[in-house]
Amino acid sequence: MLLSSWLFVVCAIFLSPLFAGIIHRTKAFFAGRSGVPLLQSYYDLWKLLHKSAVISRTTSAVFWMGPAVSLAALLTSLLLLPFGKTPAIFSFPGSFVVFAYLLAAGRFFVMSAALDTGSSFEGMGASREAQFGIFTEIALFLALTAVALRSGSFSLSDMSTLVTAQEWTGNLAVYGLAGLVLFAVFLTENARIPVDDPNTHLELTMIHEVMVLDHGGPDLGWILAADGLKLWIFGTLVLNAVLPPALAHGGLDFLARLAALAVLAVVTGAVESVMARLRLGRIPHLLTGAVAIAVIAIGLALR
Amino acid sequence: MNALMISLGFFAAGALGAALFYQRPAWASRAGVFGAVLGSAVGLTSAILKLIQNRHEGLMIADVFPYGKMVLGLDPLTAWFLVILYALTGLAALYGYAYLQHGDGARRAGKAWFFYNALAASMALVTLARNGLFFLMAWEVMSISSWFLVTLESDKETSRRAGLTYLIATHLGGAFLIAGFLMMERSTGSFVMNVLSASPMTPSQLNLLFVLFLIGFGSKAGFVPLHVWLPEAHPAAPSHVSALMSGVMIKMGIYGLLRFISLSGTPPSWWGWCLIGVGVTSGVVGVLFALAQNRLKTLLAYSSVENMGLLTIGLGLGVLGISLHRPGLAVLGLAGCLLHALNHAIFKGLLFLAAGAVLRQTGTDVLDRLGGLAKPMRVTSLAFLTGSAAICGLPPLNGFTSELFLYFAVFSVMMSRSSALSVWMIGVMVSLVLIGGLSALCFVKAFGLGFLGGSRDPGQTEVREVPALMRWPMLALALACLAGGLAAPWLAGALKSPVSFLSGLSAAEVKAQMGPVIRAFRSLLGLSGILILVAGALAWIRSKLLAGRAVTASVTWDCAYARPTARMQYTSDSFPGMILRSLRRCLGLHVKVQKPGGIFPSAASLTTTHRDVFRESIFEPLFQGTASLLMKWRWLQQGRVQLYVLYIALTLLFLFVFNLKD
Repeated sequence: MLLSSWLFVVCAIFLSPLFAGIIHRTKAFFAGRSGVPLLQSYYDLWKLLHKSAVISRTTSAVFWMGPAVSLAALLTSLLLLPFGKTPAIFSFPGSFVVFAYLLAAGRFFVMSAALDTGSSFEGMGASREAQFGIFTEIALFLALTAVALRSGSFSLSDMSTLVTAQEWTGNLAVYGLAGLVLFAVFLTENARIPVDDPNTHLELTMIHEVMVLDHGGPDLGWILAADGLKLWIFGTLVLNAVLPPALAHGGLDFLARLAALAVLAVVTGAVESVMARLRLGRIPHLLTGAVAIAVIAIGLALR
Repeated sequence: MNALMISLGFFAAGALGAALFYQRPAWASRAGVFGAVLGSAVGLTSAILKLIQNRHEGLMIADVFPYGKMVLGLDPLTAWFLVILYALTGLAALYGYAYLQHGDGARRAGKAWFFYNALAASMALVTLARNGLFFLMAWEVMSISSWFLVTLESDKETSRRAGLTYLIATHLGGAFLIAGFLMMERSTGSFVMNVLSASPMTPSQLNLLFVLFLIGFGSKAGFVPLHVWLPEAHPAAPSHVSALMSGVMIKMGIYGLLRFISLSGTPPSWWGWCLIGVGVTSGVVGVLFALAQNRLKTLLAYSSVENMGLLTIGLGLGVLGISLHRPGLAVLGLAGCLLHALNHAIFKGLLFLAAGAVLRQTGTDVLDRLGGLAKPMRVTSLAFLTGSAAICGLPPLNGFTSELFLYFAVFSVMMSRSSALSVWMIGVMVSLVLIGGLSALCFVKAFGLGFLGGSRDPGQTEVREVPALMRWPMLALALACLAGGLAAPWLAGALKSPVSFLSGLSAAEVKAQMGPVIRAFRSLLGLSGILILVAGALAWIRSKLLAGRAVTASVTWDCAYARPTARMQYTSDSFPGMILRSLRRCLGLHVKVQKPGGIFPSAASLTTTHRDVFRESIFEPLFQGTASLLMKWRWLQQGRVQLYVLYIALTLLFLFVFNLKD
C-alpha cells in the first residue's frame, strides 16, 4: 500500500465534484455562455447538506438507503481502482469482478429507491437504467478482459500497473479499442449525451435524472457526490487504458494523470456540445456496437 | 452415521405422529414440526462435523435382497448435500407450522406433515444410498411425497393440473433413471454403486449412460426444456414446501449427476461441453422467462431454472477440467457448483418464504395487485430485499461468492493462453454477466413492484406482518445470506474435501488451486466491511443532519398531474418492457387490447400473458399426439378385474416362453 494510493482516494473524494464543473464550463464555452462557477458542485453539495427534505408519504426506508448505499459502493470501489502506475489499495486476481458487482449493488439500490416513490416517471427511469445496464455490464467486462489478457492478470490494479511501455505501444490497438469501449461505458453510466441528457427537464427522455426526482436535502447530496465520483471512476478506467503507462517520472506522473482527467472532462463537455441525444430505441445499438468493438479487442488480445 | 440415523428416526417419528393424529390437526402439526426440526438439528450438526472431519463411512442395512446389499454410505459429497438439506428443512418447518394454520391449510395438517417428513427423510436417503435399487426407491418416495405436497390443496383446479404435470414429468424422468441403473447393473453385476471405470464398460455404453442420467436427473433439476413442471408445481405447493423443493429437492438432480461423475473416472470432454451448453441455455432461458412473469412464486420458480443453469455451468466446467487435466478449471468449477447449491438453497428458500408471507397476508402473489408492503410488512420486506440482493450476486451477500468461483474457473483457462478454449470461456463469461444483469432486472422488478411504491389494489388496506414464528426463520436465512458472504474464506475451506473427492485430486492440490479465490475472499471480507461501515456512516450522518430540521411529508412529485393513482405505477409487464417486446416470440407473449373509442371513451383494457413456449410447442403436441395414438388401444382397457388378471397371466406366460428360448 503506497502513500500515493491513498492520495488517489483522497483526491477522488475531494476533487471529483470538480469534474462536473469542468464539463459545465466546456459546454457553456461551446454555447457562448459564461456558465456556472467551476466550483458550483461544491456549493450545491454544501447547500444540500444544510437543507431539510420533503419526503413522499409513499416511500419506505429503501428510499434513503438507495443514495447512501450507492455512494458507499462507489467509495468502496475506489479502493480497487489503480491510477496509472499507482496501484490500488486492494489488489487481488478477480478484483475487477468485485469492482463491477459493487457498482451493480449501488445501481440495484438506486433503482429500488426510484421504485419506492411509486411514481411512474421514476419507474420509467429505473426500467431504462436496468435494461441498458445489462449492455454496459457486458461491454465493461469484455473491455476489461481484453486488457487483462494482455497484462496477464485479472486484478484491476495489475491491469494498469503491470503494463510496460513496450507492451502498450506494441498492442496499441487492443488498449485503444478497450479505451473506446470504456469511453462508451463512461458516457452511458454517467448519463451523458448521446445516451442521456443530464440537463433535460423532460422526464420522458431521461434515464438517470428521472430516478432521483423525489430525493432532496442530504439524500440528493449523496446522489450528487456519487455522480461526481462515478465520472471520476469511469474516467480513470478510460485513461488507464488509453494513456501510455508512464506519462512522466515519479510524482509528476500522478499530476499529469490528474491533468488528463481534466482533459477528459473537457472532451466529455465537447462531445455533449457537438452531438445530439440518441433516440431511446437507438441506445441498445450504440451499446451493442461497443460490445462488438470489445469482442474485436479480445480477438486482437488473444492473437 | 449413528447421528444421521437418529435424525432419520426423528423424521420417521414426525411422519408417524402426523399420520396417527390425522383426525387432530393441531397435534399432527406439532408432532410433524417437532420431528422435522429435531431431525434437522441433529442431522445438521452431524453432517457439518462429518464434512469437516472428511469422513468416509458405510453402513449395511440388510443383505437379504436379491439385488445386492442395501448399503448406506457417507462421504464428503453426501455430507455437503446433507448440510444443504438440513439447513433448510428445520427452518422451513418452523415457518410452515404458522403458515399452514392460516386458512384451510389447518385441516390438512396430518397429510402435510406426514409427507413433509417423508420428503425430508427420502432426500437424506437419496444422498446416502449406495445401492442403485435403494437409490431409486428413495428417489420415488421423494417424488411421490413432494407430489402429495404439491396437490395438498387438491380442491383447487390449478393444484390438480400442476400435480398432473409434475407426476408425468417425474415419472418420465424416473424411467430414464431406471434404464440407467439397470444398465449399470448389467455391466457391473450388482446394483451397488461402484467405480465404473473398473467395470467392463465400453466408452459408448458410458456415453449412453451419461445421456440417460442427464435426461433423468435433468428433469428433476429443471434443465430447459425439461423444466415445464417447475413453474407449475412450485407455486401450487404451500410456500415452505416450495422453499424446500426449490432449495433442496431439485438439487438432488445435480447431486445425481455429481455422484455419477464421481463414479465414472475420467469423463470425455464432450460431457463437460454438453453440461456447459445445458447450463447456459437453462440460465439464460430461465431468467428471461422469470423476467416475463407476473406472479411472484412463478417468477421464483423460473429463477430456480436459471440458478440450476448456473450450477450446471459450474459442473460442466469442472467435468471439462477433469477430462482435459486442467486442475484449476476442475477445482474451481466444481467448487462453484457446490457452493452455489448451498447459497441458492439459502436465498431461494428465503425468497419463497417471503413470497409465502405476502401470499398469506394479502391473498395474492400477482405483482400487479401488490405494492406498498415495505411499511406494513417490514421484516418480510427486509427478508425479500436481502434474498433479492443475494440472488443477483451483489456483494457482500453469499450469492456473489459462488459466482466468483465460476468467474475464476473461466479466468484460469484464459490465463493459460490456450486460444481456442479461451474463446469459448469468454462466451461462458458473457453468459454469466448476461444472466447476472437480467436477474438484477428481474429482482428489482420483483422487489420494487411487490414491496415498494403504493398498493395497486385499492382493496388492500389492512395488511399486517406475519406472526413471529414465520418472521424468525426468514431473519435467520437473511442473516445466513450475509454470513455466507462474509465467511466465504472459511466456507471455501469446507469445500476442499468434497471437491477433492469429486475431482480425484489430492487435498493439497485442491488447496493450491483454491488459493487465489480464498485470497480474493479475504480481500472481499475487508471490502464488505468497509462497504457496510461507509453505508452505515452515511445513513448516520443523514439522520444527524435531518434531526433538527423540519422534514415534510408530502405526495410523490407527479409533474403537476391532478389525479395520480397507484395504478399508474410501472407494472410487471412494462418494467422489463424493452427486453420482453424484443423477444416476444421466444417468450410466448400474447397481448389482448381493447382500445378506448368514441368521444367519451369508457371501457378499455390490456391483458398480456406469457406462455411457456416449450410447453406449448414441444410437450403439448407431443402428449396430444401420444394420447390420440394410444386411444386406438383403448379397447384393451375394459375395467374388469378378471380381464386384467388374464393380461398378467398372458404376460407371465410370454416371459416364460421368452426365457425358455435362451
